[in-house]
Amino acid sequence: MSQRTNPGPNPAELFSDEDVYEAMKKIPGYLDISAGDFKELYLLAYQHAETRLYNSVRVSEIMTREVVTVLPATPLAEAAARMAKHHITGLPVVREDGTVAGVLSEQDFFRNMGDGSQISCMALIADSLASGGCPALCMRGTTAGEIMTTPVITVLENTLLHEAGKLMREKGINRVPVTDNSNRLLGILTRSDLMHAFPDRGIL
Amino acid sequence: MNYFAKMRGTTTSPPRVSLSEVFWSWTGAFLGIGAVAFINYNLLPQSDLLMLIGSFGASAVLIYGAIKSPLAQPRNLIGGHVLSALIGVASYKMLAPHMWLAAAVAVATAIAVMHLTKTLHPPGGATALIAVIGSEKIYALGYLYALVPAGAGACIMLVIALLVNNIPKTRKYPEFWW
Repeated sequence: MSQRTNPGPNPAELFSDEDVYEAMKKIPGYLDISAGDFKELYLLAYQHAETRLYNSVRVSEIMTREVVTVLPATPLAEAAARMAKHHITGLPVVREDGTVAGVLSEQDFFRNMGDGSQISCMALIADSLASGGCPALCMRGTTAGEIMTTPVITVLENTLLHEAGKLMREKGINRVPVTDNSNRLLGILTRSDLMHAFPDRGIL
Repeated sequence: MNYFAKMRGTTTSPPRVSLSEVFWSWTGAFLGIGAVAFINYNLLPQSDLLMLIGSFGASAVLIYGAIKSPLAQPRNLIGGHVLSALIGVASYKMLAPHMWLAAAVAVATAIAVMHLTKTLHPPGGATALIAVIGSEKIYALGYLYALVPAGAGACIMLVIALLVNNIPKTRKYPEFWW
């Protein structure tokens, strides 16, 4: 399956009747179809293909394989620096043997800062400016394993994409680690993986 | 779209074909109609049979002039003529005193049956109508009309279509058989 990296325009708007007319001229012989009917047919075939692919593609085909991870013992300062460096808002916490222990996300940090009532970046900034302190300081010396979300929702590599999409929608999560049968991390499926693979579907 | 807006049309007519396409359409039609007409006028005049009916002119447009059309494929050509011929003969036999009714039932039923059997071939409507309008010779054939001329003539034209339409590099026929 070819992956499109940019969400394209609606295929029906992509070409005009004139484009179809010019294409018809390239095929010798009389084509017993109007340009309008061709466009309609193309659009329906395109939608059918997209649905068919969406219903048959497995998670392992579109997941991100190079996953940024941390160990349970990784200090939060290092974990936060790694997330900042890679511009991500969450990552799997993986044990030495490669098995998934949990997921560490922005939300876990927010929950453990200050009195735990701030659940957004702006709330923390407001709090810091008002009190003159940094609510992150109380997490010094804490490790990823201590604040991560666990148990964690994972999917197997052969899970159908539409099942994984449904799971993410229902659980309200942005990323789900993909594992083998022994819970070892193989990759991660993110909301943006889904959007890039199927730009025309409002699947999440 | 509202009722009257629909009458304006929404798109353009297909492009004109190349001169080579015109040439091969002409050649196919000349040989195809030539074959059935020769049999009809030169080989069969002493018999009660005939090989040429008006609807073959319409078939020629499709199988030599619009060869990609689903309407022009062998299934449609043979199935359309034979089924419509049977329906036309049956309509005439059952409704003959009421000629207008026999004609209308023949064509309308032919279209319905061609749809249901995926054999839609516009000249089939003419084949059904000719069975009702007749000539004395056609009435005399009875249901044989479906085999000769309808089935046999269509088969001869199909053979010519297979032979001629596959000569030029830019043409192939058929798109499908069944």
